[in-house]
Amino acid sequence: MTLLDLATSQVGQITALHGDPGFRSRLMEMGFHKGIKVRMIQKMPFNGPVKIRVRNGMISLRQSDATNISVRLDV
Amino acid sequence: MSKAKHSIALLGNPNSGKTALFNILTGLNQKVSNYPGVTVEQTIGMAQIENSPVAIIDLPGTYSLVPESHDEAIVAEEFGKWAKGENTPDCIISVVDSTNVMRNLYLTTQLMDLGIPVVIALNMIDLAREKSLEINCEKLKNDLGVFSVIPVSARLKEGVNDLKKSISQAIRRKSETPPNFPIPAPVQNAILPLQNWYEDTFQFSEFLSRSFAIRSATVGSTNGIGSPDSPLMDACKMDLKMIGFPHETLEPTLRYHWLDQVVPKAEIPIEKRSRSEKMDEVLTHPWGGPLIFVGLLTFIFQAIFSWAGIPMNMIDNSIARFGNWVAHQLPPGLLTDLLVEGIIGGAGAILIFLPQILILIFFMTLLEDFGYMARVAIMMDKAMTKVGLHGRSVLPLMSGYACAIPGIMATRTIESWKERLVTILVLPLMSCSARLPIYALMIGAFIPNQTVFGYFGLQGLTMVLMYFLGTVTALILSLVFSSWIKTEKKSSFIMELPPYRIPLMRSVFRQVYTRGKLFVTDAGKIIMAISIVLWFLASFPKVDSGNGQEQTIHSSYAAKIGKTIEPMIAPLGFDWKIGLGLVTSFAAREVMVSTLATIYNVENVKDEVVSLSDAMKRDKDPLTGQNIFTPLVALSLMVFYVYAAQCMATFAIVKRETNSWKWPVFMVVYMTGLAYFGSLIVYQGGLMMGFS
Repeated sequence: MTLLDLATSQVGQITALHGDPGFRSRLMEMGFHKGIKVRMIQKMPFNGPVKIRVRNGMISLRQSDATNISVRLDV
Repeated sequence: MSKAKHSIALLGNPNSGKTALFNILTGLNQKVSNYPGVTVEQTIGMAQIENSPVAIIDLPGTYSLVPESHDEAIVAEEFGKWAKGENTPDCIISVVDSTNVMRNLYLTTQLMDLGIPVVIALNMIDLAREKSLEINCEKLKNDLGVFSVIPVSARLKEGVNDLKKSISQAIRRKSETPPNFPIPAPVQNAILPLQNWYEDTFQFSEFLSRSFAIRSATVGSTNGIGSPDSPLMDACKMDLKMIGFPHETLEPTLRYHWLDQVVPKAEIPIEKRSRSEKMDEVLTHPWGGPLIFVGLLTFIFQAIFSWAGIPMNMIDNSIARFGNWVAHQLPPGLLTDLLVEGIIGGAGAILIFLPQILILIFFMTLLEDFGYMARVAIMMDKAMTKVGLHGRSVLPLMSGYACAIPGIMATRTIESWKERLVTILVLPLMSCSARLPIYALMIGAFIPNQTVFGYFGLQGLTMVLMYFLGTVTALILSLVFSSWIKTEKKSSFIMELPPYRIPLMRSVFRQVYTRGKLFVTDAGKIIMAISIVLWFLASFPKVDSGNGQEQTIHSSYAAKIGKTIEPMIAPLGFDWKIGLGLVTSFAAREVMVSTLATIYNVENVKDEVVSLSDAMKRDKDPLTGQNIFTPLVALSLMVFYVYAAQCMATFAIVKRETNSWKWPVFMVVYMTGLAYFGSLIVYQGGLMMGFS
């Protein structure tokens, strides 16, 4: 499943990052790493960006970008 | 400003409170840059540190030295220069957000490679305490190998003296052993040829070369300095692939691996909902959020009109009184005329609008410092994407309400070139504060001060309508322009949402003060010069006609210029005086008001400074006896100013930011066309519908 599949306030653990290299490396610089926990905060209406809690910070991603982050639920 | 022996650089993530710290260290002793056409990419301020002057360089906030946007590229390039020994600072202050240490330290580890002392300013320590995040500074310092770790709070002015003391010690240290973070042996072997290349080419230290080697393997180049040939790079990438290290994420993988080992975990439990999250439930609510946003904007524009009234009247009256006083003190003559009619009349007409401009800047700064603008960006991203823009376009566009120049500079945070270019092109359509004087003058004089729909003032509403017109046109044109510009790169949106913070009033007022001062001095210079020239053109040649000075202005040089273009603008409802104003205000919009003020003051028979709006209301066509200015003319003129490209500073900055004359020229052409036809439709349409 991907980050986008998380329901609001559900927590997941990152298993892999996909997408083009520049995007992936920026995600990592912002603290998205394999094994790191993330929580879905809010999905903006009309398929707008999502808000994510990661490493003490709040980050917003577009839905298309969020599908490039694989997560699993059992944490 | 005294010459400083030492310089230090201030670097950090966006939202780490870097600027607040810069302000505290430098006080008001700051060379203001970031404004019209100056080629300065960085702000330099002077600080007294242990009794010796030190230059502090403030660079844009960045997450890493691998830039994604133009803003970040500035930092990466500056770093490249420092590596080569050009203007290398004596010490780096790495500003770190205490509530998110791990992510902030990523940049710090990159900065440490330079081999100069790094002082970590653990900012917002008050917030970390509030969230009971324990950070052992001594341990962090030793584990990372930085010069010092100083907890500070720019907000509470806490720890500033400790920071200064540490800086003064660091400056004397000169060099520092860079961190020797662990690299797996196979990786080290793979990047060795690149590392050798940097060592041989630039005589960099081993660590710095290794760091650049890792970076060039990761992204294929290093900013600010050259990078190895592609055969060398390709071989390295192949080697990395063989040992199972994808080269595209090499640098963040290695550095975070190290950080994860040495940095003590100071993490808030993932399930814990922060105060900002709770506030967001209201402020970014699916339909409540946008409603609040529109409500805020309406409130701001109403405030601009209603709150500014009293100070505006005070300024207006005191300038008129001052002009009359000067006129009575000095002997009548040319010089007195120039002083009273040209300079005091012209400059005074602009000063009146300072309160409104300050109120606008005050609210914009307040919202940004509060952390609200990032929320606006995510609420608007979907809509912005629809018209070919980006969520990050919202802040620059809204800054455009204050002034297009900082707005255009702020587009540097937009990663995709196409989205950035389109944002720049439509940004001058956002009604900037230089239009306010014209709107305010026309609305104040010709739109009746009555209430409609029981609650809204008609004047305030007309004002909102002008802003609305510009904004909607900007959005429509974005769609048009972005369909013309082709690009293959897909844009993405990774944006940090800073926690809400109560804005620091002293830094808000500082911003208001700086902008206000720039408006008065920059606009003042242009207006002063143009006012003097204009007064001359309007006063000469002096005709001896016996029946009063009324004759003078109509046969003056100014009238000749105005009347030459009158036929062209007559369909828009404009007479020669307005025509002259259009010519003089090509350099800066607000000059329109001072032009009218100067003309009416010269024309005025009695040696008295009258209010401009009264003079306009009284002005009649000498042939037909009809009013020159009617509500319809005022409306047509305002629409012209919504669209017209009249700002030299904007052209200069667009030329610089797009690196070509093509775009500023295109901007002038399309905006002038819009202005002419917009006005034409309003005036002719209004006439047809029976308005006057």
